[in-house]
Amino acid sequence: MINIPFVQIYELIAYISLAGLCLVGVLTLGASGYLWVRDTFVRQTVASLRPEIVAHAGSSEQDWEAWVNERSRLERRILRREVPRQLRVVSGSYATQLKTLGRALGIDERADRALSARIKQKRLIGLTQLTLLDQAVPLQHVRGTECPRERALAAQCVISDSADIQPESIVRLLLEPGTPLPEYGVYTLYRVMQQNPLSLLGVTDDTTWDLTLTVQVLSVLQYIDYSSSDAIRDWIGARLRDEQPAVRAAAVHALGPYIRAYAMTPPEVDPLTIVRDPSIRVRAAAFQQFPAIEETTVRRKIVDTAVEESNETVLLIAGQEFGTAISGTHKSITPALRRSMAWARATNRRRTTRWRTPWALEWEHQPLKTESTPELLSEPRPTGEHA
Amino acid sequence: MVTDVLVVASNDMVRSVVVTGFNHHPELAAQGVADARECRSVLETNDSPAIVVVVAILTRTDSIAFCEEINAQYAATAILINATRVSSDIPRDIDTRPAIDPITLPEQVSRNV
Repeated sequence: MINIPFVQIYELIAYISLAGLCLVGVLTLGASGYLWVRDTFVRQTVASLRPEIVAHAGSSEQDWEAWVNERSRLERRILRREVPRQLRVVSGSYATQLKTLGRALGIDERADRALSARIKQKRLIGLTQLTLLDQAVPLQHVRGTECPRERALAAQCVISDSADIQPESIVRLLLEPGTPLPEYGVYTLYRVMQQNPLSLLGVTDDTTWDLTLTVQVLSVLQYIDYSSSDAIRDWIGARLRDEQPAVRAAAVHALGPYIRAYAMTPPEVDPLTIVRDPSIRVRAAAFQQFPAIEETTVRRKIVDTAVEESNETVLLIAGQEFGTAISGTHKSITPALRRSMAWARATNRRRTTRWRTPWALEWEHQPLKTESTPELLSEPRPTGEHA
Repeated sequence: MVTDVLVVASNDMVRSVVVTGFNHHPELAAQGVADARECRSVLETNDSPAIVVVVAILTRTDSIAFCEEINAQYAATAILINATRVSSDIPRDIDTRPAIDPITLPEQVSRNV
């Protein structure tokens, strides 16, 4: 048996540790150097290709294919990363050219193949790339998935593709699983239903929806002109009797387009029951939507109910929306209501507590015109198709 | 006539693409800067650019104020490009695209010179 002195064992361990440390250091420096060289090369290649892409703007699909064939394999690989990146920040004719270039680079074919991948992340990347390129995706690819993001992206792809939109299929794709949609999916639903509000009806009968999804659909209806559809009106009416206050409040908001169109609530809906609802959210929603009612008797009863309101949040909205009517008809009001009306007069703003949704923001954030920024600032946003 | 254009955009990609678009235009020569401080230091040099294009992506209010400052204090015309996203609620997957078309933008700017 070999007898190793105790001190030598420690020395051996120290040497091995030192060697390991040196190896890790060398590998780290090597990897950093490699990444630096690679990034520099990619940056330089991209910088040299960008002017060429702009210079070729206006080329036909064949010209782009010829241009792509002239590029080296490495340049094509870099371009396949660069084109989707640029498509996220540009629009208009340049974006159209980039999409043609993307197709010439075969990004769409690769994305199509990625849709069959078992890893969800790959499928999402494929769907995102198809969306960026405005390419169609066969719905059967995503029908089976339970991932709401995947469904929302697929629905967006179908819309982007265009001419042949089948609203019912898209709405079914989004709503059939009955699970909440991501924000982008809600926006997609809005875009589809704006074109065809009746597309909702195919999925309302046979599905048990999650509470959040019901609220999301109702929040979309708030911005859709469905006033000529009795079926949608009935569906909203049924939601007004839901046991969940969030659903009832969303349903009251969803009545907005009908009330604005006819200056009254639907015949089967009693506005006084709504303004006396036990939930604060529902009463607040009612006072936001009911100012458009013109029928004198109903309006007077709503105002009377507002005067009797005890919750300060609801009073604030009632003060904002019905302040003039209240001060015209009631001499004696509670101090809380007086404070709310004073606040409403001081701020002189209507509807401070509206839900914020992408399309609401789109309307509210229209470009301002100022003297210093004359021409371009006042132009409408040219993005159009996706925003 | 070649007019100098200074593109102010904090996003590297946007800045690079817009500058490339301007430089492709025969009558415009552009350079890019990332922020207001860098822009001011360029404007304070003797050969300051004639046009400053401010690309507003998220901080539009600040950008309007900055354009007004340029118009008031420097011998340059500021143009604000409204590239505000619709909503920050939309996930980054897709809709992070500002409204910039580097092909038509130089034409618009040259018409405003």
